[in-house]
Amino acid sequence: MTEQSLHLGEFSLIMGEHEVDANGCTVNADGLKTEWGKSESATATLTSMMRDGDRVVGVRNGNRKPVIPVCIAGPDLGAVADTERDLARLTGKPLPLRWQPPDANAEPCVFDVVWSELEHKLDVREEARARRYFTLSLDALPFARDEHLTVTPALPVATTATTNTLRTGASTSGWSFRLDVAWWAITFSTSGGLLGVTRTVSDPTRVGQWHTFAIVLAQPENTSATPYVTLRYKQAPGSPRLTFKDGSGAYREPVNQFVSPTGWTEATFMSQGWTELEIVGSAYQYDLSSVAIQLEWIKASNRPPVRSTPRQLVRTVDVGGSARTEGSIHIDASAGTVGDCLVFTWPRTLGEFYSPVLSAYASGGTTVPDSTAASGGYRSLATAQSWLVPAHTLPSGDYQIVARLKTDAASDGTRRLRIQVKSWMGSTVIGTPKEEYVAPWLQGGLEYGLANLGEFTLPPTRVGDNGAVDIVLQRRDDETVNIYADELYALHEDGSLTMLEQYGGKHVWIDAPSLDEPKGAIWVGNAADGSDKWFASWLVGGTGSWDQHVFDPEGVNMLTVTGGCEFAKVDVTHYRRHHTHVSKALT
Amino acid sequence: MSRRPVQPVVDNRPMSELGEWGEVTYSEEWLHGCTTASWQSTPGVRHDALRMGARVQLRKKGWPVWAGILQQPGVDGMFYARGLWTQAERVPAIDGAGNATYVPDTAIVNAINRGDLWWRLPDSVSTAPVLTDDEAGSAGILMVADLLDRWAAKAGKRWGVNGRREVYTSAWPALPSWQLAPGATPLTPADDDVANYLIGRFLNSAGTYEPASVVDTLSRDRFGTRAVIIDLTSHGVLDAGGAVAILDGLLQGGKARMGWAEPIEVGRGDLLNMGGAAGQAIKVGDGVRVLGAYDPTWTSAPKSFTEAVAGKIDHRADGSLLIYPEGKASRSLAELLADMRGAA
Repeated sequence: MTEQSLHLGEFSLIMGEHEVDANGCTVNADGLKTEWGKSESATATLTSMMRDGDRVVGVRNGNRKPVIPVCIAGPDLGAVADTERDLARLTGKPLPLRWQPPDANAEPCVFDVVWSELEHKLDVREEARARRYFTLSLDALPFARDEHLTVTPALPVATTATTNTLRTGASTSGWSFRLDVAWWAITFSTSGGLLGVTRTVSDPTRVGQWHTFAIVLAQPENTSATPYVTLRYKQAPGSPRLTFKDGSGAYREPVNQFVSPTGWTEATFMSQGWTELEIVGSAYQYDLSSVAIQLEWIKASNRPPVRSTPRQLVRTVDVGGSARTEGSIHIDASAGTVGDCLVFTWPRTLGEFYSPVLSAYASGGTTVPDSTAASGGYRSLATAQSWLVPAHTLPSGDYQIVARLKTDAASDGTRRLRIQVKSWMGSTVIGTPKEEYVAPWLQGGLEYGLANLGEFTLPPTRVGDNGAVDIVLQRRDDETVNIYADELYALHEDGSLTMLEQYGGKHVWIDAPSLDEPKGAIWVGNAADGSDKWFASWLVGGTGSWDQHVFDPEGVNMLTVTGGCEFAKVDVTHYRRHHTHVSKALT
Repeated sequence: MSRRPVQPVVDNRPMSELGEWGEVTYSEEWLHGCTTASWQSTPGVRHDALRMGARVQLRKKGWPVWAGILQQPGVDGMFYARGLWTQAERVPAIDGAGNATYVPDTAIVNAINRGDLWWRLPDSVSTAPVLTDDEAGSAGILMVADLLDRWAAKAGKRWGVNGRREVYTSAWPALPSWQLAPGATPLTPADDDVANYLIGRFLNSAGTYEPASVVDTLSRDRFGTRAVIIDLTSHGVLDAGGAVAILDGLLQGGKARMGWAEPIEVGRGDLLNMGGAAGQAIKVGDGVRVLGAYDPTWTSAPKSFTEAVAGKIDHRADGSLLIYPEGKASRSLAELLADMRGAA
């Protein structure tokens, strides 16, 4: 059996049977009276249309206050006083409190102590036995964390791209299905290169019910050299999200999910070690035979998915634990330069279809190809340009609209733009469009730069899944300079944004706040080991943003844009945080 | 869970670089824009950038929502800043040659070029003189804020400086942009300030007092005659047209409508845009509709909803908002004292 142990910094608060400290004393916490304390959460009560009851939302969690009674026993009271000195020197300082529960299956739990106090309780009879009793009162961050950082390494990128098509919807072979109920039948049909999965029922009372189904793709192909497996599918409107399993029964999240303007979803998985891909979904039985899902293809590639170009990468990070935490992000752009840089992280729970990158939704107009553009091209704002975004990819809330723009002016300056947002259903505008005039400071000389164009509550009118949100951008009539839009980003309020101006170096580090560095830090440099880095807040001071990247335990998605580099390598480190005890499960 | 909403940036340096920070609050008013901001830092924090007169911006994910000037930092780690518009109280409205000008754009552009105002003027306020020749004769040099206040009074509009340092002008909105769910916050009407018959008394160019008056007939028919005598002599010499323009501006600014007794408190999720999406991107001057709250204050006919214009918004540290409807009557001692100071 693993011995239990409790340490404040290096100071042991539970000693073994024959163990003594440098002063010849033993120190032992009273296990029965030790309390880990409770974190007080600050909440806000919201009004709602519910007739009874209130809606309560969390604002933040306060510190927990563990209390540990400690007995110091020694050969004499002089030695006991020496050990008391050693312990008292540690109080009032930020230190980790490490608790190893008495079980080899249990992970050590670490509380970050920010403040501590030691109180002596006099007991005259115990003095004669050279024992003294103390109460150690701690003030610690609310959640326990892992002892070690969790590292999410950069996704591997092959130099030469290879993509194999594993299955297409043109053939029914190689697909198999599992059903949850026997009275349900399923048929495949191929039409126009698409595999339609139709559920049929003979009993009309089954119409109007939900049913789950599973599509299984056994993986006879070896994808070890092409681990990025992408599935292109389309669900019936209003269907709940699909879930994916890897053959061992474990659920897997896509590393990237993208909804095309025509409503097709491309989900990419990192498939290393998988034996099969099982797609589990549920669908509504609209009539005797309803189409549950359509599948177009499954492809395997040796390169991670990109958004429009490899200057824009989206990936997911498994966070784990049960409480939110902060992540440190490192961008390695040594294949080029960082250039203008945007890092946006958002909780996976925001919705799997949400994508902050909008260039794929550019509608009408002309895109001029440009190899230096993050989206692969630019659109002139001399006329109104429209980005028509499927409504269900934009969860309701406040958004910052950020654009990557360039101008043909000789110098930098204030440029005038008009931005309009409106909701569409079919060919009808729903509600009143919202329009703002903005005057961002833009770079001249046809250099791309990121500009924040303001805050909008989207969608302007809530519409169903078939609706769309239109974001229209145009140079104002009184603006004489030509303005070109490369990419447009819609950044939801629940995400965290760091945005840097042009930087010609190779690396960016966004460090999470810690007890040693409570403010966090932002660094840039050229050496991978960070030896020549320097503090880079001047790169965010002008028009940028520097945020704490808050990681939700259910996972975060991360967009990184590097204007000067394709396939920048991005790695992430964080501490998993847990309610009181550290769980072993990694996700 | 809430995110960290806004970060102060002082002299283009994020506050995270300068010290720990939290508890950020800020206010904006429809007339004048950004007014006050404060945040808590470590007591005794010192940094070159944290000095009186430093430029302050509050940024929400990079988007500047408030702009102003740092006041003398205290030793308790509490920082206060005043809105950027206050610069104009101490900057003269003069043209390039140093002569008095009564054209808002000329006064602003020259002050920006001299470096006296840290503003931007993306859109013209007005290229016409605010004062007529008669009025200008004895006006002398005005401060820029005074000139813009006079322009706003005559035009029935508001002016201010927003978080992007931009001068804006704004009129009473025709349509609301926000709504509150039924029963969220009923507003109590207050009739203290209702006036539908405004009689002004002004000084003409001959140096004698002269009356001018305007009537809002709709309001008079509904609430009865509520006359008020307004002393316009603080505007200096006026002609009859100028005096009527100021009185008309007051009517357009809501004087003839009933005011409100209390502000609206909204947490996240309480405020919806007109399309039903929850958000808090409300600005001063935006209209807010409170559904399900019967409104007796409309001059035309009562409505089954209440509409108010956000005249002042306090952004509190917990992310909630306090929206003061334009025309909110003074109820607390502090507000009443502020009214008296304003009148003196």
